[in-house]
Amino acid sequence: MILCMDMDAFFASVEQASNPSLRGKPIAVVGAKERTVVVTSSYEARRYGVKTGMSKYEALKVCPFLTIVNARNRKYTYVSKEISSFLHKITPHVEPYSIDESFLDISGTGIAPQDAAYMIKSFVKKNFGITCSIGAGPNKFIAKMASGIKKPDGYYCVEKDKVIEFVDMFRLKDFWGIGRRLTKRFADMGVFTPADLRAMGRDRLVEIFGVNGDHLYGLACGEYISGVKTEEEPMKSIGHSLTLPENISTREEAEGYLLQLSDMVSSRARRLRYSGKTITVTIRYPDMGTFSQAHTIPFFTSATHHIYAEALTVFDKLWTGNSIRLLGVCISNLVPECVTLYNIEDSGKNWEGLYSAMDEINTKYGERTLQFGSVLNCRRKGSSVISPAWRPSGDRHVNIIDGN
Amino acid sequence: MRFKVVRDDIFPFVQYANSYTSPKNLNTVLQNILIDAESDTLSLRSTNMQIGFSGSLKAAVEEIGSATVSGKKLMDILKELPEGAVVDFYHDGSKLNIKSGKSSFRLSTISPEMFPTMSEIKPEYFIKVKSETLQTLLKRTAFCISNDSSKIEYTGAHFSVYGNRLEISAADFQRIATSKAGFEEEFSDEFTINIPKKTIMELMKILDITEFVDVETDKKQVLFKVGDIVIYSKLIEKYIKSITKLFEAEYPIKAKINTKAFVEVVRRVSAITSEITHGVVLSFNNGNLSINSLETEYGQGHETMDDIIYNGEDMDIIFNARHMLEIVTNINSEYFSLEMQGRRSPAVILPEDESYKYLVVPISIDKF
Repeated sequence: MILCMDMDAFFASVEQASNPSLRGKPIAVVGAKERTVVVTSSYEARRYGVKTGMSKYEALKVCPFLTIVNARNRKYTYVSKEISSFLHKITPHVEPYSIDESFLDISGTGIAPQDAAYMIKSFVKKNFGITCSIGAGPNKFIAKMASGIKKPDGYYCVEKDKVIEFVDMFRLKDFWGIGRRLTKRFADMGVFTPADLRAMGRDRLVEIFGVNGDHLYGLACGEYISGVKTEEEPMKSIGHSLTLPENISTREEAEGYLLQLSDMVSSRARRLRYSGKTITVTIRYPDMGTFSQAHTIPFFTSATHHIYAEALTVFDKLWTGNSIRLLGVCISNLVPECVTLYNIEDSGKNWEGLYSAMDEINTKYGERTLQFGSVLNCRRKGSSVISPAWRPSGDRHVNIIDGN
Repeated sequence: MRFKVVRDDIFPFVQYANSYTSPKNLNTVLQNILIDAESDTLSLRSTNMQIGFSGSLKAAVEEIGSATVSGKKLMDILKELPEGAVVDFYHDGSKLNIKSGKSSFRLSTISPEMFPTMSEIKPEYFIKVKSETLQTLLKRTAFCISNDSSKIEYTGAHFSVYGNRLEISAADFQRIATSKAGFEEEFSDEFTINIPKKTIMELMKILDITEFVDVETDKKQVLFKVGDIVIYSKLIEKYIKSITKLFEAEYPIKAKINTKAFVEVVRRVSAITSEITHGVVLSFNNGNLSINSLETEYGQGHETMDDIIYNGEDMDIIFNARHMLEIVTNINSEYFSLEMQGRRSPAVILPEDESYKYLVVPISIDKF
């Protein structure tokens, strides 16, 4: 049996639990002080139509007495880590799926799903004063769909022989893993329900969607092949991005941020022992138009100076000269167990010594204790945003600082 | 303009000229070849503004004149004409009429006035070198020129002339190749120029035509005169600083390896290695060498090598198999020497003939 645990309005619940004056009130958690959107809202606020992704202005328009709370990410990542380590006490087969969702495979533990659900729910409620919803089913897909049925503080279990009946309760657009684009494609084909999809047949779907067709047919039958992944998949890329506290419009300002991002990327690559050869730069303009460009260099690297030099070259090609809202740097095409700080350009320079000194100091005394001088010009330093790839532990764990 | 020429005489020139034309849709006239007919000589020219070609050949010119036509189309037509066919060209003012036997074509032309003239070069430096020597030097180094255009100085071959020596060096970010040769006479000129890869590749195609090549340069442009052909090229005006300096370091760990056997083993083992790194592990153990592929989803390959002499402590060092093969297949001595500092530091590859050598940076993978 697979369980899916999903925290209810996670950030908002944590805020309400930690501040009694917010309890029972419509609140919305927003990213940082400046230029941000609603990350989560409490159930009270949702009743007024406050939705994730709304700007502060839009949220206040639908709910004028909404309390806006700035996200305190350290608190959320702490709670997430604590819950994750509790889940490991139930079974080692835990797959953290995001900051507020995890899958557990409780087969072989001898614990009934409703008992496991009770253990988790009572732990979460007692320790943090918040609630979660749990779905149970024969696979991850069913468990995930079931976790959304009785929100908040719900529990729903789907037995193996009830799977088809269960999926038929949903329309395809509400399926986990079927996004807006796919829904539109299905709608154009006159397919709206799992039954419609099953009627098309596996072969026809494979013809249209390739390998994914097989997967989609499986979903319509309530089947889901991949199990709970306890082992971390090897990293495919290491990237960071920063929404700048204010738009910037000069190359000098961009240089500081690109250096900071390159250093965040490369120090993480060095820590996780990866080298890569494709460097991608992302620029978002104030109109939210987002552009990325990648360049593959003819050597592997995990050195800040290589990544930064390449990021600058790509930036110069990509940047239109307009003011910039967000910058991102990412390295991909990774080779594990490989730290490369050297190519023939670096002859005679002791980069290895420099980077190991820097990494050791920053490990011992905290991130950014020792950093490049021009990074000091940046108003925002370090990642204060929890990316969708964030995990409570392992390679994908990043220390999150509180914004503002 | 009207002239007659044997297909086999003109075809190689058109073929050469065509590879200097500009890629499609950039500038129409740059896709064309300029044909100039004078008394008994035909000259063909083409350029993409970075590199230019000029070649002349004898032809039966009946009426002088000039025209530019699509290089690609002219080449395609001539290619399919039978060998030995006499081709009759006639430019009627707007079209170029090509006739041979029963086939006839009318090609659109662009006025020669539109054709850019290659800027004149006032040669300040001059050398004359045996084509064969130059060819050898280039073969040994040209493959190391980087294809990555983000660092422009790496995209060319460095020609250094000093005393009676010519030294050609090239580097990508993980390799350096250098090769030198002496002249019989000493040139008073000393200079270094960085010649773009494209120019080098085109030059190598025509070096077998004559015994000697004239090289003239003003350090901004260079001319290569090979018989009736002149290649003109802009130069890269940036240089890799002290490109051969790395060779001067000490490389205390030495291995003497059989060239042919090494190539065969690396070829076999690398068939299965990682497609991202192309890494092969050279494992020196008790004076023996075994070569492993990196373990991948496909599995692993392993082979031990005989006929080596190794003086160091046991060590594993990983190289890019492709890079290694490109280097070692260019070595024509029976043995070569691989000299190293350690598993993370560059290593040098020295053939028995000391006029050329290579440097290669290993891949620093820790677990394999």
